[in-house]
Amino acid sequence: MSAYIIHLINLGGIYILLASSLNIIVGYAGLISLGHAAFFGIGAYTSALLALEFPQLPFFVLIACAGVFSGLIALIISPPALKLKDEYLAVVTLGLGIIVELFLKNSDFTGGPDGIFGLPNFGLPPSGFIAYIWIILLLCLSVSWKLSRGQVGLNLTAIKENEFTAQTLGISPFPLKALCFALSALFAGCAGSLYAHYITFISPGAFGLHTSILLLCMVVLGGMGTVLGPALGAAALFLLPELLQKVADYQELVYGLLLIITLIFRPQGLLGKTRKTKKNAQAA
Amino acid sequence: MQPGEIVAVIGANGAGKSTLLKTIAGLMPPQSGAVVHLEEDISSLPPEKRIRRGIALCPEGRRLFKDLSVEDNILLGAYVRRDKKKIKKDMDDLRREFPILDKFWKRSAGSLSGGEQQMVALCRALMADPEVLLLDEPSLGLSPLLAKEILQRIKYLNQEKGLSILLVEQNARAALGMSHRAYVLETGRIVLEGGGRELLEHKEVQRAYLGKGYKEVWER
Repeated sequence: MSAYIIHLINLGGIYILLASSLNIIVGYAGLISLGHAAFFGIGAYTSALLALEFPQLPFFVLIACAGVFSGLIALIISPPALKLKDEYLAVVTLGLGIIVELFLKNSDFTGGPDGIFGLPNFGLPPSGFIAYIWIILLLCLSVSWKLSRGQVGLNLTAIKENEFTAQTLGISPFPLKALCFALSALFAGCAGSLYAHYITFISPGAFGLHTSILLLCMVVLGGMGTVLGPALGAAALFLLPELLQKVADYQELVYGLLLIITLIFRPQGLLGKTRKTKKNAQAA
Repeated sequence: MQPGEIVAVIGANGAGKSTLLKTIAGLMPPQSGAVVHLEEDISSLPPEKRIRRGIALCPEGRRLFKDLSVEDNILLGAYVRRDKKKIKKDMDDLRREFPILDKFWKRSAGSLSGGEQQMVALCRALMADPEVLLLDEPSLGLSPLLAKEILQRIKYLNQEKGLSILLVEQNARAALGMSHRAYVLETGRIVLEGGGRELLEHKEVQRAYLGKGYKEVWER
């Protein structure tokens, strides 16, 4: 395999992981997050700083620490944040993304706007990362799968469809939402750690609003609330620019157009379930 | 409320009937006073604990999960229960008692008619295995025939299964006719109380809620 293909598999895998983790909160808990890159960044910096401070720590410990720390941050902010509904939560997560980016840019111990160079890659060749990235990805997808079925899946669907009614049945929305939020942040944190040591360089720019929005596009394009949809959406939006390099001048234009056309003809996303017809929805 | 009673609450729009039920179910805090169940103050208990104590609410306007199947909707009613086998048995019993729902068991709830949806909502509330059933406008938006059927079901639940029922209804005549006791609510206050039949005969009630005593416009 050429180095280029391996690079695509690795970076693509990280994006698929990020989109799948975002899907846990957006697709399963039904909460729009515009700050997912913040958890990606928290994971990356946690792992990088730990690796520089304690060089003897093995890679998988760093990945776990990054994930757990990121998940903890999500748990800490969830009591006030998850009380909010829909667009209000979107604004709060947007704010969170901006705060984290500003913090990374302006703190000395994070290297300021220049970021951190020369992170250890544990002597792994690029192909050595494939296993790490795709195992974590598989874990994330199996968690998604678990959340989509059985009693938990049913409860989440109930909360997503009608929170008030769910409460009348005794389902308390907050613990389930917080669980999704934390799991979502946990896997984003793992992705951050994988990214940091694969690229060996991190700077705040990679964890800004642009990334958050790109991730949300991937989830929406692939199909919110499906296990494999976001992975497909991420693969498509990640590979498209690579394929479009031949038409470099019009790359952005084609990219945008394809996105719009897909969403007009499949608003539920590529793998999304066909929604009930309007007529049915109104009759209900 | 006494065990085994049907108590009706009637009143105009905005009188606080739904608020009363939501407060009892724990979805809203009481502004004053307390919710007492079996001589215990449960005002500060969260909704799920109240359901465990046997108080289930069937909310106004049915509020089903439209994209879920009839089966899943009803199953969600048993959320607070842990007795898997009994749940299974209760589900099967409901299928037998409501053949119309059995027919649509795997269909999405949103595709059912209003009356069928109300049946689903009722079954969902029953799956909590309640002792006290709070019903918010069960006949709302149904044809007179379907409304009658729903109310008969409710009466049956009371008589055969011994459920205590707190019934909020716009259809005052039907509600009073089937209840042991009734309250009339106006802007959040009880203005009248008495036996169901007794209130049916009451002059004020007849005038305000049953439309008697007024000459129809074309008779004047």
